[in-house]
Amino acid sequence: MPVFADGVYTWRKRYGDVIRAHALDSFESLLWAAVTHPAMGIYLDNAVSDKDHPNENLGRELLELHTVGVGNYTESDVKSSARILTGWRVDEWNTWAAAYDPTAHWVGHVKVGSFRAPNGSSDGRKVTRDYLRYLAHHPDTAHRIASRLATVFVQDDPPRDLVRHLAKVYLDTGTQIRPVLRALVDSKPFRASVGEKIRDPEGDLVATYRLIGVTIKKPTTRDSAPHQIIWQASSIGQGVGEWPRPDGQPVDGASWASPARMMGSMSFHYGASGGWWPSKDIHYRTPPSWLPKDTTPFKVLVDHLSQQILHRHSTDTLLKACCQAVAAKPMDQIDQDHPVMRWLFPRLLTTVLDSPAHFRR
Amino acid sequence: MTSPVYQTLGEACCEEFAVVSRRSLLRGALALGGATTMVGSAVVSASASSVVPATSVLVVLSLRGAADGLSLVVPHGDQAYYDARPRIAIPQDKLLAADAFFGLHPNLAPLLPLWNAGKVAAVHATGLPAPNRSHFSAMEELEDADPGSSKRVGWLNRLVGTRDHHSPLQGVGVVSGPPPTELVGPVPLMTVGSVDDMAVAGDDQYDTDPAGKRRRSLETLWGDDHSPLGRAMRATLQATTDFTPVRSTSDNSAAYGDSDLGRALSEVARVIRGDVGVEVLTVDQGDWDMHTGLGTLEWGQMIKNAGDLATAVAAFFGDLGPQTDKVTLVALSEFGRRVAENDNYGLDHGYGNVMFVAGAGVNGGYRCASWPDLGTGLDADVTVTTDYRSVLAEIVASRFGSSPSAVFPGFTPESVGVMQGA
Repeated sequence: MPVFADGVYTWRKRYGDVIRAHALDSFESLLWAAVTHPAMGIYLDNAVSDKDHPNENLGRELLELHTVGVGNYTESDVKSSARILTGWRVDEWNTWAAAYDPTAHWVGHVKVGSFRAPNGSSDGRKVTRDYLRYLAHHPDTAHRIASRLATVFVQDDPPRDLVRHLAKVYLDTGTQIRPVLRALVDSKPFRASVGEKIRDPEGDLVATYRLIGVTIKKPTTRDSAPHQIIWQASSIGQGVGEWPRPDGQPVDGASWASPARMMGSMSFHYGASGGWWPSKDIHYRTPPSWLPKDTTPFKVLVDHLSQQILHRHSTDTLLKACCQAVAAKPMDQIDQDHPVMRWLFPRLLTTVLDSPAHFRR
Repeated sequence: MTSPVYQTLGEACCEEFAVVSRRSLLRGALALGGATTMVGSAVVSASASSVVPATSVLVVLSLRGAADGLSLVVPHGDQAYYDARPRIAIPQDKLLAADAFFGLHPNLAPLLPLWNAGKVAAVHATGLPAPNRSHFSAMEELEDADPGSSKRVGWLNRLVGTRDHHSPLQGVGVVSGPPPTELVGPVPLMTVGSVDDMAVAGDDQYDTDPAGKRRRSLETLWGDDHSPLGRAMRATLQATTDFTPVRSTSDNSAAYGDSDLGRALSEVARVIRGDVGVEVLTVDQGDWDMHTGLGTLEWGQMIKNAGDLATAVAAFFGDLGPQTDKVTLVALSEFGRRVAENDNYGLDHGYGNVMFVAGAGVNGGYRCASWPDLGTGLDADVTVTTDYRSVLAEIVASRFGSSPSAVFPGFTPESVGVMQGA
């Protein structure tokens, strides 16, 4: 849910709090909290839906995006889904207050998949809860959640056995998220995936700042680093909280292997290597602090940087690329007065950050 | 059917063949130039310019979220439209360029000069072969345009693949986030947020080594990486070199109106004016999903969106200079919206829609294979009478001489008559 969608801002901060509070709880509780939240109602039009013309936006995305997935519901299911959700209103004209309005709830028999309810009461909160419980425990939901988690943490197109296993854990533990994550981390595919998954823009941003050892303070003005960092994420390809559609930003790596992203990342890496901007409420390490000894051969410096940033020894390729970047030779003796540790240092550091290994995790 | 394209092109075929041979000649000359100026390692040759000026340019504007075609091009001759929309229907006497059946939304007024010059066509009741009311899956299906295959290859990637030379700049998505499906595929193509973003950081005036230290270093670093990341890096290194003439074009965005679409189309115009061999460009505009507040002629989202669209497209065609006669623009959505309005002055997800085609080679005016019965009730839909691929196939054949069957596998287009020589 983007932070800037119309009207959503009135509830968006509280929505984020709710998601975080339930992120390691059960999916059933997370689903209930998210779908009945006023921010969701405003974003996907359920807050103005009523029994005369149930608005299908949230009813459809609940099935397609939040639970069973496309191909696993019918158009008739969408209609019942929208009818079940009528009543969760928000006053978008004056107060932005949220309230359940029984006079807006569609009453009558509903059927979604194998879920059936007489839905005879104008208070539809119980049928909403029963319906969301049914969806949370649905095997298609289990499969989608397992598949997405495995895509995030393991690889695009994750192994089917892993997905099946995670879906089983999900269903066996009553949609608890924690045991699913434990099973994921315990799996062989997870261990084998180290260094293969492409970092998304936020991942690049966080990893880069952590690895080059910046410290960031609380913002004091608009141009403080913590504010500018939000903008930096968009410059790489995806601003924090800005994905404009209800399907969530892509969790696969291929989506982030575009030329625009490569140019955005290189620009960010170079700026961070130079420590030029942002410059307020942020502290960068000095170039000499990267020297492993007072005087050291260039190739030892490159290996040191590789270990600090890429968590592995340097390679012939990296050394050659670094030599080319700053016109140095492997055995050149480097001390803090050497051009490589002065005006050329940003070019050296950014070469390490631009290497294929840093684009992956 | 050895060469169906050139048969249908008639007289234009000779011109097209001339273009092809001139192109081959140019390519040879450039390859030679690259070889003679090559410095150091062989990788440097990849940076030699591969620009072949485009003879045709196609701009694909995706109106994301499913624009309501019945508001943009109103079937005022069908009473069912007025019956289904008691509050949001547009009165007949307000429509522009009306014929006996269709008329344009009043806020499309900036398009009238182009429309009256026969440069804009509106093809109604178009869409996917079967309804798909999911935004995300419909976009994939529409842009993949190869329903028999599970491979994720977009139709514009296949189109560029039919060309007789290759450069990553042949296809450019104006987008800073993930590339649109239509561009994705085996042919490396570019994405970029804006003209000013098309650069390799550190490859600047301070990098004084004549061999280009920064670029050589990156070529070394990524030379062995054959993953999608490595392909994107190589495309970037090549395209940023070839892109240089675009950076010196003037920024005329002030004429485009204050909208995201205007800003994006002004970038597109700069790329085209730079004449660096770009043949296909994509632009996404996102906020057409009007479940609520589509509104009337006095208020709502539609008057704004229609106005922004017309202002930006009109400014775009006024900003192309000598390239104008090369450029065709098509605007389409993943699906249309329901016929009947809902309680919130909006419309839920529907099916058939209008497509706009404008610019070079277009037969202007309203087109519709047959107007469907709109039906009644909340579920009433615009039934599709023209597969959207039939429209695109005419553009592909008439502007690029490409075989529609190579771009839309397994599909047999029907004649729409939206393009000259098709």
